[in-house]
Amino acid sequence: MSILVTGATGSLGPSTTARLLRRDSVVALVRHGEERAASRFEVFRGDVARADPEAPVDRLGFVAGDLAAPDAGLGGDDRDALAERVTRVLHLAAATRFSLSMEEARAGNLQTTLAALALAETLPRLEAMLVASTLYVAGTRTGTILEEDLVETTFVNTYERAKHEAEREVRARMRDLPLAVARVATILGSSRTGEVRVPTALHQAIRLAHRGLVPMIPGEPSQTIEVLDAEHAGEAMAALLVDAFEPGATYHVTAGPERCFTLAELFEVTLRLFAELDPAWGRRGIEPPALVPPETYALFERTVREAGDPAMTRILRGLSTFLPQLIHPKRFDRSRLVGALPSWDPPATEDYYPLVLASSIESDWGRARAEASP
Amino acid sequence: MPPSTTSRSSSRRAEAGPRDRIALHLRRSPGAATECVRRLWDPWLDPEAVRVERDPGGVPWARVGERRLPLSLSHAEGHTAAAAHLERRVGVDLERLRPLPSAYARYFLDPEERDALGGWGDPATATLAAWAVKEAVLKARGRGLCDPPSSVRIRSLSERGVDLDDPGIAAGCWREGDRVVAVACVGAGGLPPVEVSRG
Amino acid sequence: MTVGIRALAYRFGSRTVGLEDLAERGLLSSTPETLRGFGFDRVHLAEPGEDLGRLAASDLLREHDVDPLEVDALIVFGGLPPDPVTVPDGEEPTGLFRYPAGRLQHALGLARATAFGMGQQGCAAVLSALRVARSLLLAGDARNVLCVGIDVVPEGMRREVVYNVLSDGACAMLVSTPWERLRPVAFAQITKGYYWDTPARRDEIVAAYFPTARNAIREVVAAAGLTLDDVALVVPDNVSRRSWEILLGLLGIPEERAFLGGSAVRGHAITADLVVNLHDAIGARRLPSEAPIALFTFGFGANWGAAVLRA
Repeated sequence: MSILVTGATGSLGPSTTARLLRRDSVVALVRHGEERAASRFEVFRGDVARADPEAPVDRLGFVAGDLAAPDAGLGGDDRDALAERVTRVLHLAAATRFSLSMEEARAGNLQTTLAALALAETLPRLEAMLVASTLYVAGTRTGTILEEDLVETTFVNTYERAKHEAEREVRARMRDLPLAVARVATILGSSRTGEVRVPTALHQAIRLAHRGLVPMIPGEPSQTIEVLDAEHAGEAMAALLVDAFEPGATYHVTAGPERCFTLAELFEVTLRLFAELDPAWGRRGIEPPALVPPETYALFERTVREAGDPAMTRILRGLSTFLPQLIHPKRFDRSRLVGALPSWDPPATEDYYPLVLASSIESDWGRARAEASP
Repeated sequence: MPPSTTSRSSSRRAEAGPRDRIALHLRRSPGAATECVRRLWDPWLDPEAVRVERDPGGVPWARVGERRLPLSLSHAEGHTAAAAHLERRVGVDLERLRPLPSAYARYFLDPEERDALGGWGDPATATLAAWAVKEAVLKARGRGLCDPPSSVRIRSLSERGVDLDDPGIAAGCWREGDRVVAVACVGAGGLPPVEVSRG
Repeated sequence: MTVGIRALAYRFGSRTVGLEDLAERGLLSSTPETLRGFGFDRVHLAEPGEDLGRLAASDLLREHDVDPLEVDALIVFGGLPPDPVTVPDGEEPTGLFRYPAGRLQHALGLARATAFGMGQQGCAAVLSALRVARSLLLAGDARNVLCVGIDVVPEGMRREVVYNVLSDGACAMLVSTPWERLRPVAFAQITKGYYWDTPARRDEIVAAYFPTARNAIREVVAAAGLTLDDVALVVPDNVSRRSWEILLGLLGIPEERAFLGGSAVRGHAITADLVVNLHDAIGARRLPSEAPIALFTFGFGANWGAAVLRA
């Protein structure tokens, strides 16, 4: 029997696939891109081996397909083979850029989810399907967010809204299909190597802070910045799909506030670590961004807009899809997750954050890695 | 207080009028100071004979030969106002009529002064009018911008008249098309007649 | 031993020019509408030969009845670099050694005063001058120190710097002992030489300005043994009103407790701003004796300077 993974080449793919391989064989749905699917698969297999050197990658296969295409772009033989073998599906495919238009965000998140659900219906042996989502389907809600909550609200970017819409569709299908949802926190990086596989808006903010280009950030100093390391995210996803699957459940897959930095701590620690990693950088005297009330930040944004300052306009535009979330403080309840995975024990951010920063600086924020990759 | 006005053409051959008057000339092109002096001193004066100079303190003077007369000048987007009196020091401020945010009012008007601007009739430009009056007064004192605005206190402000705390100085302020003009004059006895000419 | 500011005076260039006029002459980078929205309205330009520093200092000596021979030291400062000096080829370069401090000492009749210059701190030089003056007085080396700041933008040079519009101005400040009023009780200065190359680091300076400004003001208030709520009045420089609205928001200080508005009627006169606003604020706000007054300014170089005075 096999586990089908969509979006395997994305940020969560290698770490999750590696842990799934310890449980069963895995088939990755791989799109043709600039290279053929087979070439992309070879790169992906290498990533899986790097994510977990002990993962049995000989149990990893692929089918060429595309959730944006009719019938997921699968050939007849592949469809038959999947119907014969697949008992579990992990749907990771997503379009995670916050700056997408609503149409693009829906195409990459809602439409792909609908396509994945349609594909699931063709799998007669299906026992479990776990759909990856985001904590921020909660949008601009504040306060405690329960795992079972899916409340209509407003959102700070198109990604949040598209994911919310996708979850609604998944919920509507929970009567017909064995579905569960995992809302995953921002992946900060690998706790083993520090590698950041897919930089997020948070990484972008940290990179700009390294360059001394973030003057202020709106938000409550005490609010938690929920992040998770890639390894434990992968382990949680694998366990929720295989070991502890519960149809109809929704989980907040996050390390929890006790293990995460507050907003105030994040930038203080970040700049302190930068200085420790590079004393020459430390001598520049770059200040952490000031944490400010939302109205002060809005006035600053308006001023930059009126001034038409090109550099600061670019910087704020890059931050604008994520910073507004900081003025809607929330606490994500994890009771269901803790009940399902009692021995899951992710590290505190402070334990692996130095590794992530060191890796980011060494790779010039991913540029060196991108230039080196085939 | 609408000032008395004199058209350009009719004054060319007029005799120099009473000594207690302010000559105020407004024009877009250069030469406001010269025309002001001619109207005050001698309408037949050769314009080339009038020199405008500034003393070390920056105060403008008109000189014709050995004779000197203190002037006040104000420029606003290509327009110039020049004012003078034969015996008393005068100040003038010319501003393009525009709303000055009332937030600035706190900078140069105390609460009582802010309440005293109602007579101007247009709240959006009252702050600007008050500023023009203060600047005109500071210029008339010969101090210009090196005294704080709070050293001039306005009791009331309207186009009919300006009332100041200082009995030794008088001022007036009015709309002149899309401009506001303020004139101040040192000395007791109120504001002399202002003869406005336009070029 | 009490040290205080005994007298203040200032002078602006005698030509007043509006934003539209400056734009017409090509002296702005932004539109007049944008700059008006940021809190500017007109600036003051010096006429050629207008000796603003001497005028401001003379005003001070005359109006406060100060005998020039009472002045023990003269500190001349400015945010702009001194006028460039050229010496014809082949000539002895004594022409390089002509200093405003000496000229002013002589012109003002300060026959007993030692004279020196201070700079390379942009607008923040004014607070450094005050701090050095205070140190001289506390050290017993002087009883009266006259600080004169002068900034005149070269003719034809643009008047806008990072959305601030420059006036030509000069200020004079007499710091004396014993003197009970306007006593400096704390200073804070943050110098970050990393930002020395202003054009190369412009974007980083814009980003660093607000958080560092907040830190400098917090630091000086704490050094004075106070909280931000204790500050009776913030005396700003005349950079854009908008930037002060943002900074006050960062500090949580209501705008009513700051003497804002000078940018519109004065423009930004670089090192003279704080003296101008302090002088005008004292007349306008009627502060009780000993009321804490916080001053802040930023100077390229880069320097964030703050001080607390007791009224």
